[in-house]
Amino acid sequence: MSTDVTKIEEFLPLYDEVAKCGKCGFCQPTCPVYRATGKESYVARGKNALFRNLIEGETVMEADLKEAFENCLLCRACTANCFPAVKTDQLVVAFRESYAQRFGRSTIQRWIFRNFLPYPDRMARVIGLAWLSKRMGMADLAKKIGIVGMINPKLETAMELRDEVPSSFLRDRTKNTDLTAKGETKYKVGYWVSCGYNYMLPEVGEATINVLRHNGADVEVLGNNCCGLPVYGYGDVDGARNLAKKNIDILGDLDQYDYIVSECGSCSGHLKEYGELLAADPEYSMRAERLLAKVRSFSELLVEIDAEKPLGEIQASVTYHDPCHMTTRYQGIVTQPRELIKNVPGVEFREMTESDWCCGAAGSYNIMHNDVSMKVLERKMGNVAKTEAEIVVTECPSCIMQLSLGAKRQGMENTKVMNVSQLLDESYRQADN
Amino acid sequence: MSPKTESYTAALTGIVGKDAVEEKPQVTVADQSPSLRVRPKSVDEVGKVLAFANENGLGVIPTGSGTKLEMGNPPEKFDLLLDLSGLDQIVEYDAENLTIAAQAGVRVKDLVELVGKDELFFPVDPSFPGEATIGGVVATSDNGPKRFQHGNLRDVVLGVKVMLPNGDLVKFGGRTIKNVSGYDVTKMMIGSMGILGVIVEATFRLLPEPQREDVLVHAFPKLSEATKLAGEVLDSVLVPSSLELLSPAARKLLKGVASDFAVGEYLLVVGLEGHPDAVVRQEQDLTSMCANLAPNRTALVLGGDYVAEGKEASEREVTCQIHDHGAACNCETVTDQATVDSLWDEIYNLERTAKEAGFAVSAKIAVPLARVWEMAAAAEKSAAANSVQIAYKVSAGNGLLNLYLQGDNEKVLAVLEDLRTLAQKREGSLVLKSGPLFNGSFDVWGEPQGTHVPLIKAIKAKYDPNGVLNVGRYVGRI
Amino acid sequence: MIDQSVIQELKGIVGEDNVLHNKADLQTYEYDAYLEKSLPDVVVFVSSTQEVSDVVKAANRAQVPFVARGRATNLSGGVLAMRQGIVIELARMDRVLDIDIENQRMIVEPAIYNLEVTGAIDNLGYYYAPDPASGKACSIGGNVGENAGGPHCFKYGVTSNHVLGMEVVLPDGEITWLGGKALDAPGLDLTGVFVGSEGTLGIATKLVLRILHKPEAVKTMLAVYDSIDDASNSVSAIVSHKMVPATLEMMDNLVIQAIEQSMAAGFPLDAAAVLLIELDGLKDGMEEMADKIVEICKENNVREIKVATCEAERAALWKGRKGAFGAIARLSPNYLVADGTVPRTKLPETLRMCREIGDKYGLRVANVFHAGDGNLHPLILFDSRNPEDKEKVLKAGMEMLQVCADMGGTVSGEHGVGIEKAEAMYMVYNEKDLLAQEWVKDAWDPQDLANPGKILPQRLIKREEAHVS
Ligand SMILES: Cc1cc2nc3c(=O)[nH]c(=O)nc-3n(C[C@H](O)[C@H](O)[C@H](O)COP(=O)(O)OP(=O)(O)OC[C@H]3O[C@@H](n4cnc5c(N)ncnc54)[C@H](O)[C@@H]3O)c2cc1C
Ligand SMILES: Cc1cc2nc3c(=O)[nH]c(=O)nc-3n(C[C@H](O)[C@H](O)[C@H](O)COP(=O)(O)OP(=O)(O)OC[C@H]3O[C@@H](n4cnc5c(N)ncnc54)[C@H](O)[C@@H]3O)c2cc1C
Ligand code: SF4
Ligand code: SF4
Repeated sequence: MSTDVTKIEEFLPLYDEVAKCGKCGFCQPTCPVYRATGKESYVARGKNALFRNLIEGETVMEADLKEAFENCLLCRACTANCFPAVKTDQLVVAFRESYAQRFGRSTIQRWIFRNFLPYPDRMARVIGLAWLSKRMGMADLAKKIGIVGMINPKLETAMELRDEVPSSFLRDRTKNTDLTAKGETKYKVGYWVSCGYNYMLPEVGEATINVLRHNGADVEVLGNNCCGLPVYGYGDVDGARNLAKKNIDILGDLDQYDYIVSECGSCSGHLKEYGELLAADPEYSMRAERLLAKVRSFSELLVEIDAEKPLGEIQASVTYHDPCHMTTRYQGIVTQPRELIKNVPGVEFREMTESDWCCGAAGSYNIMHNDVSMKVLERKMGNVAKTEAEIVVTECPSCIMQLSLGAKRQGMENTKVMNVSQLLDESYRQADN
Repeated sequence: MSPKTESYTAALTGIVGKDAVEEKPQVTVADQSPSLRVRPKSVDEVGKVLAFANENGLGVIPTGSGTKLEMGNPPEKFDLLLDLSGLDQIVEYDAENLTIAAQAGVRVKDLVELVGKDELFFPVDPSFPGEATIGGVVATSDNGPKRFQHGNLRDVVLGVKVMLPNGDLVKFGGRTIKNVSGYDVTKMMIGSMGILGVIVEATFRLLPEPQREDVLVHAFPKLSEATKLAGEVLDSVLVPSSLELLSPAARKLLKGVASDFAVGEYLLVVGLEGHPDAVVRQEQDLTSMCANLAPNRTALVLGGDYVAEGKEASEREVTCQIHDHGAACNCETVTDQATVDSLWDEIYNLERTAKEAGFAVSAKIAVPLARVWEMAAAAEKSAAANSVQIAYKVSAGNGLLNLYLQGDNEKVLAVLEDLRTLAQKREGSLVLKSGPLFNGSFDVWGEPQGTHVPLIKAIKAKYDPNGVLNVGRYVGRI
Repeated sequence: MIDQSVIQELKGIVGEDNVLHNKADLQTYEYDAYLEKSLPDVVVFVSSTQEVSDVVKAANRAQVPFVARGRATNLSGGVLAMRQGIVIELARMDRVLDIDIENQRMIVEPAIYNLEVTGAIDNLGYYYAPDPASGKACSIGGNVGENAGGPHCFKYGVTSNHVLGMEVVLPDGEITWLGGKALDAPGLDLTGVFVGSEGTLGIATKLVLRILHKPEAVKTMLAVYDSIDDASNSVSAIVSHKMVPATLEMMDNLVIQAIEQSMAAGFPLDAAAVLLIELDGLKDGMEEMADKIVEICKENNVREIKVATCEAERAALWKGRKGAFGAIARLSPNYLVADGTVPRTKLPETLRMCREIGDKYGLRVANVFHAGDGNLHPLILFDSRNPEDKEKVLKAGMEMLQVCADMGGTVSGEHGVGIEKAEAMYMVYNEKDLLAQEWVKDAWDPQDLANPGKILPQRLIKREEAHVS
């Protein structure tokens, strides 16, 4: 079924990029996948070597190569530690795209990308059904169908994790509630609904909205689709572009919002990359730039608007896990969440080693490569355990679920995992009572 | 004299000249005497002599000044004593780049004096520096107390030239500090006891002379107190250049300043080198450490004649005010360099003094640092149990214990065997350095973990295939 | 091609999953940080000494060569499987086995990263002294293989001064100990020979390291010069003033530019050279020594001298130095490091000649070096996509090494010989010297199975022969 495999023409534009790799090996120690496996083909240097071999005709596109490029969290830790800053994540996505184009994507995957993600209603229905089956004690069935994991692997993990199932999705919950500012209205904020919070952790979204309202925001729950990151990660760059465009269309007139905010680091991070993603399309790239100017991650916004100091006391030791997309490798929102946490009275903040080390969730990774993902997670949980913190705070639904899974697996039952917004919300509420 | 020996004499005379060949020299190694002593005057001659011996299967023992010739297991064959004292040239002295290359027969003392003129310092302090030669020091890997700071020979020898038994002159290493061009055969030659080839030249790294050099001597009635202080020093930021402990019996052998101390005391001798402020600071720290550990102990500060720039000469006395820190120490200060030097001299020559005092057997125990104290205590105990007299010196920073024993041969042997077992249990070793060979029943070297005899044998077979050099004397009787 | 039965046997030893032999996998084991490639037949992940030994024994039975692989950051082709065969991948043997503070020793497995050794004892107030710039990415086993050095080696010595013993699997598969926690094991210093032997004498599976108490105080200074000669002369002057700083590192203009482009370490872009000087030890007297150094630098026309006032500033200065090689990648995709050593006072002349060689070939040469040790690293810039460039670069590199040899220095200071410098060995050794080195190899590895084709020029496997893929 293959086309010309001697030279991969579409990689040529990346030749300069990959030729920068001097094989120094500095990417090794910080690549979570390499550290978990020790396999050279999983680290940036190995991927770059193979990629270059493809360009130079030293090897051909074939199934054996796929494994190397599948095993990547797109966490960019390699690039951050690479002096020439080789953008290995781009090579990985390019490979995945090209591979899928040549050998096809599994039909079911394609079908989902094309027929579900762009349609929130359909998504809601399928996932609703899955939850239902779990509630009825048929969790296995839902898993076997596998569709949930395909749509968004986080969802499947969540299903395994959650004993008590959310009774309804975030969108439904926010439909008939008051979303206006408490007190004087200072801002109009568009709240971006991330899949993870919508379907899995609606209570986080509620907390976020509450905190925003507390700080003078009239909140509008946006009618967005999936941001497209999972699709991009699979290498379906076109699919990702479509989703991006569709989202830009849905948001419409941006002037009506002061800010667009998401407490999902992956969503806010990916939204900020729409410009680059749509660079080839003059119209949409301009609109994407305008969007970018409004997009804030939750912590970023709260620090920017100088959020009201929470007064309710929370007597707990807290540590923070940087989601990949919040680190300097992506958005660079690093000090803000820490500042917010430290601001909560009673909290004792404990920095953890390798706080910005990927937790191993990374989109589909924890499903497709569960064993490696769990090893990556073990390292993370080891660092969490060393802080002896009672609460791990983060800002990404994937991370919340993965870390919860980690805590459960390591027998750290008393370690709570939550979003920054939940911590703030709790403090605000306590002060209110 | 056998006709064969006569023909050897003739041939060797042809190489080195008549005055350089001596028949039936008064030298014995484990009761064996060679037929000839040959004293070549050039590297070239060494090569020819060796090649001749190699062709004729003669047993050769090279020697520098013979201070330790009897060391090692009894030779399997010993026809020729190859006296290297004729190779006495400084080959290249590069003061600017802090290196010196010297021939094997150069005496350590002469080298020290030479570089001292340029305020440089030769970071090797073997026993008997007055006689020991460069070749002998490298071949035995012999080094003294200052090894703690400056490292052993393997850390300061940059390269060697070696005459192989087949008469080929080869070089290993070079004269730069860093060098990874090929196998580091230099390291293998250091301490090889002349079994692979004759070291004819060695290049050393030199250091700038320290600005100030003091010695602090603390006396303790109990070994455990000294042990504690040494442990504390080692786990501190202090950087003494040496940390030696003398047992009461060893101390008794010293005649200079050390004899001022009360009988029965252990002496911890701490060498301090470097910037004057750092030296003084360490003296203060050490003395207060000592005062905290065991008040009222005697201490002696031996300061060089150095006077810090811009400071009053009397400020030297300040180092002695340590005792005003509260806890009382009886302390005295001596401020002339000669006293410092003579204390070191006495320590370097301890083995000889011990021998003269009847301690016929000397042995060296090497164990992991902290284990050396257990070994010292065990040595005292074992000696007492066997009615053997014992004196010893501990090099605390290196985990070495030099033992001097006197008593019944059998009893001494029992102590040695006892201690070897204990040392090997602690991942260490015991080597017999001098004394009777107990009719060959006691292997001078032992074969502890970490010593791989078959490999050494294989290497020896490559370098000296005909078995000419120091045959049978080394580890595993190689 | 290796026999399938050998692969089966290997799988039997380490398990199916731990043997890689498809082409995609193998192509990620055909390189290191040097410029050449050679494809192995099979890669085996080992996780214990016993497995290493079993694999080596299997290799012996089948008479297949094997190569120990650390993190493959060496710059001389040390881990290339020149005669194909088995790559023994040690990556998973990376544990700390024993931290023994009272004996000032530590035992580690070979694949532990250099920096993680110090990381494990930092909170106890100790550290491991040899600090190659690649410390983050290279393994202790590889450091032993190459006898790695680093900036602090001027005062503290190189790897061989800090590795006191090891458990090794000999080339025939026997497991044994050489040296140990105690000093002065009787017999030949086989530990000393093993260090720097580039995996040709066997595979170290446990290493006993000397660890040192952290110094009480550190003072780091950056001296900026308008001429390389002034910087070099300062180095010599500092040493001749009886000072032994912990480091004396120099970087030339091209390197400064690269560093600034990649990480803004605060080095002035127009400087001809900067000198990074660090003093360590007791705090007493350190100010005075620092003042003296400033004075000496001034006498040697320093333009400006900065003293780091806090740990962050110190880290910034070091970040520049540690990243120097990598940063070169900003200027050009590839570089060859000609790692030679000369007596310190010959530095200015040597540097000039290296530049001239670069000019002759029309190649840019950047220089970063351990000035205190006289160990220079001319980095010759090129693009490996251009084969002509590569030939020129290799030639220029050789000429630079010849200059070092002529100056009384040597052809490899700390990066090893590997395949890169095997020919250059003739510049410092004659046939007889080399034969005597070969005996070492012969005695340890009569079958020539342990990493064949390295170090000894007489055993070099020509590139054409090796390049089977
Ligand atoms: C086994 C042993 C261990 C020792 N350990 C210590 C110690 O730990 N501490 C200490 O203070 N002293 C020690 N010594 C003493 C030390 O040997 C002498 O102090 C001095 O270093 C020897 O110098 P020399 O010139 O008198 O050599 P010699 O006594 O003449 O020779 C000593 C040995 O080295 C060989 N040799 C001499 N010159 C050369 C050469 N140029 N090439 C090859 N081989 C040569 C000889 O054949 C002989 O085997 C030890 C001696 C021996 C034998
Ligand atoms: C950017 C950069 C900077 C560098 N800076 C320095 C520097 O400052 N100083 C310096 O000295 N080097 C430096 N290097 C070179 C390199 O990092 C060192 O040579 C390092 O010691 C190699 O370690 P490794 O783990 O990568 O070993 P590898 O490259 O995997 O192996 C090196 C050699 O050791 C052998 N080996 C590996 N493990 C073992 C074992 N367990 N037993 C026996 N043999 C083994 C291998 O067979 C091979 O011959 C640098 C390299 C780069 C890319
Ligand atoms: S750090 Fe960068 S240049 Fe170095 S090997 Fe990795 S990708 Fe290549
Ligand atoms: S993006 Fe992350 S997982 Fe992927 S190669 Fe880089 S460091 Fe490894």
